[in-house]
Amino acid sequence: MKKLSLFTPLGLLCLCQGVGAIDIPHIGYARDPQGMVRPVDGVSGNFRIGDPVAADPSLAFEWNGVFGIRKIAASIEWWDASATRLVTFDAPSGGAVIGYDRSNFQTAWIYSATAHTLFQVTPQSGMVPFSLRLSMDESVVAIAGSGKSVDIALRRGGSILLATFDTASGSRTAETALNIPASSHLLLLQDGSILGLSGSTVWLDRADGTRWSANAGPGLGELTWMGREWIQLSGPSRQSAIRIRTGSDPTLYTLPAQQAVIE
Amino acid sequence: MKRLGLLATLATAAWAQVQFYTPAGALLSGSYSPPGAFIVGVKQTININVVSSQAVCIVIATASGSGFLLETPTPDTPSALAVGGTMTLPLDFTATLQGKGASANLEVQYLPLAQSNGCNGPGIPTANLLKADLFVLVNSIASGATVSLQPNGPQVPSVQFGTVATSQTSQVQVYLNNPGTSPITIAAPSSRLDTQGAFTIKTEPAFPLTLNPTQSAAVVLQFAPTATQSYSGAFVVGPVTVPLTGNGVAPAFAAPTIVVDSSLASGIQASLTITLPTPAPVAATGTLFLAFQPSVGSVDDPQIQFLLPAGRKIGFSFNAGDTVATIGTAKSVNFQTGTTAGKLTFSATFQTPPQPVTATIAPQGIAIDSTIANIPNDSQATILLNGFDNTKSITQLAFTFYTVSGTSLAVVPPGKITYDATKDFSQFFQTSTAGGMFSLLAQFPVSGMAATSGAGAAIGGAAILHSVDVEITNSAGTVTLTQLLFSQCSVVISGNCTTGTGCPCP
Repeated sequence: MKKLSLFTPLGLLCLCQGVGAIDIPHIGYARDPQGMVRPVDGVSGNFRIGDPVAADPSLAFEWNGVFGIRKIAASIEWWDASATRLVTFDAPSGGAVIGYDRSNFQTAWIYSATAHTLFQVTPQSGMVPFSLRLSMDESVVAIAGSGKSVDIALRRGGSILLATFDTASGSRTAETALNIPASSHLLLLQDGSILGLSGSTVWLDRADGTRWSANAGPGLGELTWMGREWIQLSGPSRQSAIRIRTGSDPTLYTLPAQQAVIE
Repeated sequence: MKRLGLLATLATAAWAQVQFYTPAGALLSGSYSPPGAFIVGVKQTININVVSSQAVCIVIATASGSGFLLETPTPDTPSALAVGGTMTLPLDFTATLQGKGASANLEVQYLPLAQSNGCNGPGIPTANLLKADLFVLVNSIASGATVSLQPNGPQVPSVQFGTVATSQTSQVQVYLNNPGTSPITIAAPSSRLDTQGAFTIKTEPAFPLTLNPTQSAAVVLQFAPTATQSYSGAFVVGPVTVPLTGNGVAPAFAAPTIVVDSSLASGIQASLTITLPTPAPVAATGTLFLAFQPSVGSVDDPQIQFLLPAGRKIGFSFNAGDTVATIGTAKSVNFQTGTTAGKLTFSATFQTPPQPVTATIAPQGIAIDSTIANIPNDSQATILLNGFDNTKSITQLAFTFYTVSGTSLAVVPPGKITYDATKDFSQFFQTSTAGGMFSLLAQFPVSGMAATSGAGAAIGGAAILHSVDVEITNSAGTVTLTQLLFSQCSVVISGNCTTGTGCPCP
């Protein structure tokens, strides 16, 4: 890493001599079709997929730009900002739906379908189970916490609804039907907007009621956090990424299937 | 319709005029359409004549190119040509395929007879040159082969269909002729053509057929190969057997075209398609290649690649009837242009390869993709710039910090802070394998101030660091980022984050 010395200004506010660094830009981490977590370097439109950072495949993985949650067989790993495993918790076997708390970047919300349990997860407190009253025909699609409540997108019968639960009581305090196909894949974003994938159409329903959409092509089915502003769209044979920035429309990109081999 | 064009360019010396003439005696000074017709599979000789106004020695005559053969004996040893005399150059041409052309370059070299020691050599000096370009395009079915129905009469030794694509047919019209003095009656032609059905009788007269002396009747034979192999058969009519031969080959494709988005620049994803002007006659495959030549240094940019599948080499295919190739699994392929200026070249191997396409990625100013300005603790301000320099020539950085008071911004003294980063970036790019991409983290120790998201709220009475302007210069110019706001998440006064434990910045 290159050290970069900077000039010392004068004034009432002291901006003293400093150092910096030059490196390759890092976007985040993506889970490949084999479940391996790989670093994603680069800038918009120019990506570099690196070698796996863990030796074994994961059942689920999300990276929000600050920390990551990796679900493997019967445990949850908390990765810190340098993609180092900070702590491992015992967890129900099987997959998991992973979300983050909108109020800060220090809390994860994880739902285990096999245990029918919602967990609030922090490195300090571990996995704290919450009583979550779901009907038998409801399944969790996406989660986002909001301090003392948690929003959960639920698939029920032929529709998807957005329900709000009070984390203290576990009771459902609000419920709104979403006018989207029941097969849609969703991600609840930090600012209250909802990113969805219905068939080959990826769309963003913003909190202000406006919608953006684009054709993402066939074969994509999963939405996961890949980095700050970045969300991965995954399929068995291809990967895409969408960048969502405040004040501008999302942009959609294709992720390289693997690092190029130059012949 | 068969056409033979002949374009002649004459290089004449002042002392002699040596010229080409057609078999009919016309001067070859333009295009030429010989009378008669070409017969697919049958050799036809075109006699080109050389005439000189003075006695010359024709040193050598050659015909180079495809489809034509200068018959032997050729004047490959010096031959004298008298004043007004004619030397005939017999050019053989065998039409092999309807729609297929052939071309050749005919040349003769000549000298005055006196300068060539009576054309006896040795030591004949450099000769003058006479050139003609010949070309042929066979546009219609061939016709005219005559099959004598007398066993001992003159026969076409064989009908050679030549090379025919498996998706196409070739037809030869032969005439059944009675050269005798008494009528001949044929009950029906034998159908012994071949065992694979490649040779068939396309049209024929009504049978039984009676031909009076000198009368003839036409039969069209067709060759339709279904595989890439050699075929042989026979056309048997009455007492005559005519051998048939032909070769089946893969159909000739029109050259496909590589179509790339018109305007390419660094840091984008674009798409490429491969199209055919006419539907593919059969299924075929090829390989598409992407090459990059950087304009800065010699280091490649590995991120310049096709994306699905990834790499610089990718297969494509046409199904029969397609006009757009399937590349990988789709009708187009995305690629990324990398972050280095230079030239992208797209080429392909295919049975009729397309013209390579070259696109220039022009040098440009610094492109900044994302920024983060924050104060992660109470003694440091950091500015993170992610972007690329496709010229790899960053020289100067400049930072101008602002504080806020109410709604007014004030520049932090001493104003613009400049830094010569030439050496730092040069060393980084020399070892980087990521093209012109960079992530610059500039750190400024601070004291006595706090960050705000621009709302202007002072915290604890401290001065408020509001924003920063950044200028980055490379060989293509200077890019200015104005008022990058220090983020709310990093509001720090005494080590406690106002929005959460540890207050990490996204």
